[in-house]
Amino acid sequence: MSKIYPSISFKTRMKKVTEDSEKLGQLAIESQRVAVDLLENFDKSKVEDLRKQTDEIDVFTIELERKCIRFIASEQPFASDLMYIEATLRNISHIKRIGHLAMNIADAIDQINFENVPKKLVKELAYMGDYVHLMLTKSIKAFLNQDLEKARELNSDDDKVDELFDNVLTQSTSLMSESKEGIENFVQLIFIARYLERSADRAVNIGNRTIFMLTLKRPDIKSLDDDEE
Amino acid sequence: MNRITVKNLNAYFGDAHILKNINAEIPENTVTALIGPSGCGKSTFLRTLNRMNDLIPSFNHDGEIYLDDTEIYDKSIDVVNLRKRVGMVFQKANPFPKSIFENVAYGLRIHGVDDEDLIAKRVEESLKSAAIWDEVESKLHDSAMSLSGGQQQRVCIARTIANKPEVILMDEPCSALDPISTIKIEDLINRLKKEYTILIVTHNMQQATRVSKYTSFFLNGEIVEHNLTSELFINPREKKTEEYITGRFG
Repeated sequence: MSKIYPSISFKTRMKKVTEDSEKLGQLAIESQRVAVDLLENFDKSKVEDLRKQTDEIDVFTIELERKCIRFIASEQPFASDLMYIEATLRNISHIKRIGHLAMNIADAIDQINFENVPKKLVKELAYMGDYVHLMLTKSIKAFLNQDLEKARELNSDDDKVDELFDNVLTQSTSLMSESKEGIENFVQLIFIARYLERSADRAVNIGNRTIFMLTLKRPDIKSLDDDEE
Repeated sequence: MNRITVKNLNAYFGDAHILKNINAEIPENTVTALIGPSGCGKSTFLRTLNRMNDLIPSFNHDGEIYLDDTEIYDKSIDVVNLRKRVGMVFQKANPFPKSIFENVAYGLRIHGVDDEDLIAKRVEESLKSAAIWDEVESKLHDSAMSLSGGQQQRVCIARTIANKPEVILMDEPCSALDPISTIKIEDLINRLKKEYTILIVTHNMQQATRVSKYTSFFLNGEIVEHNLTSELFINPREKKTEEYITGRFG
């Protein structure tokens, strides 16, 4: 944001909130990437590292929430500044949740015996993970850069993720019906696909909050104002 | 229904063009906040509404201001009566060096009310409406100058209300008050809007958001933006408004 700010204190605090949001976003995206990597390159120590990183995300989120509240109390922002801080408070909750979903993915992978799972299905899940990774990156960039166009793209990106989820679900249930052997593995794979789909939903939420921040309208909610018009 | 309608108002002090083509509609029983940097014309605008600027020899204007259907600058207008209908509260409380009772009764007396029972009744009603009755009931005949700044301001509001105006103009009424007195005045404004049309000049943006339904942003003698307060402070239409309310001005 290349804006002129009224005071050094205001400018410094706004900059810090933006930097911290970016750092939190990077932590969550990194967690998601590490978790999806475990599908094809499992390493138990990385699951434990991820658990530590999830705790770090929680602490960082609380600190950033406090910073935002202190900013509102002391600077009493209006207009675009107020909307930015409000959006930050909302979006960091989504970012935190993305971190937790990454942990859920890692824990599910930890339960799977990959010898009984077709490689094709694992590849498809990894592809879904990559796609969600791109969506997460796009959502956080759209928010930090206040990029309305990119934020709007996320809604259609999510349709692709839903399609990938349906595909994994169909294949997994089909394999489960063919043989009861290894059924636990397929249940965990469905869980992973579900966690990825929910991560994508969080990216959409970040995009929608960015759209609201910039336009005061949500693409997914019919405004009461529209009824009055 | 609009209580005040301003059409193409220009105001001048000598050669200085202070208000430039102001158009405004002020609905009855609402609070309208006037905001803007110092010297932008908001107090001058306020003072045109009860012809207080007439007291300044170099003042002149063109355009029209209607109070209901009456053009207030019409030659037939009795200015004293106009100021009874459009009362004013100033930045600094300005009680007369008289008792609390006589401060409130003053306006009634100069408007010819001489029924002492009626005056006493109206003084009590006004002090109650101004939310200060409980604090002064036992010392009505003490000097108003002995009260705190916040109390003096509420006595001045009672003095304005006693004349049963239709419009109350407030020129930064809380700028010299502590937060508690400010809250009391703001609560009072919220109560008074049920019966009166109020215009308030304020430099305190939070105050504008708390008390007003509409806000006008003045800049260099013009109204840059007039909108619902809830809209103007969250989603201003004009870039200049955004820059002013976020402190990026200049």
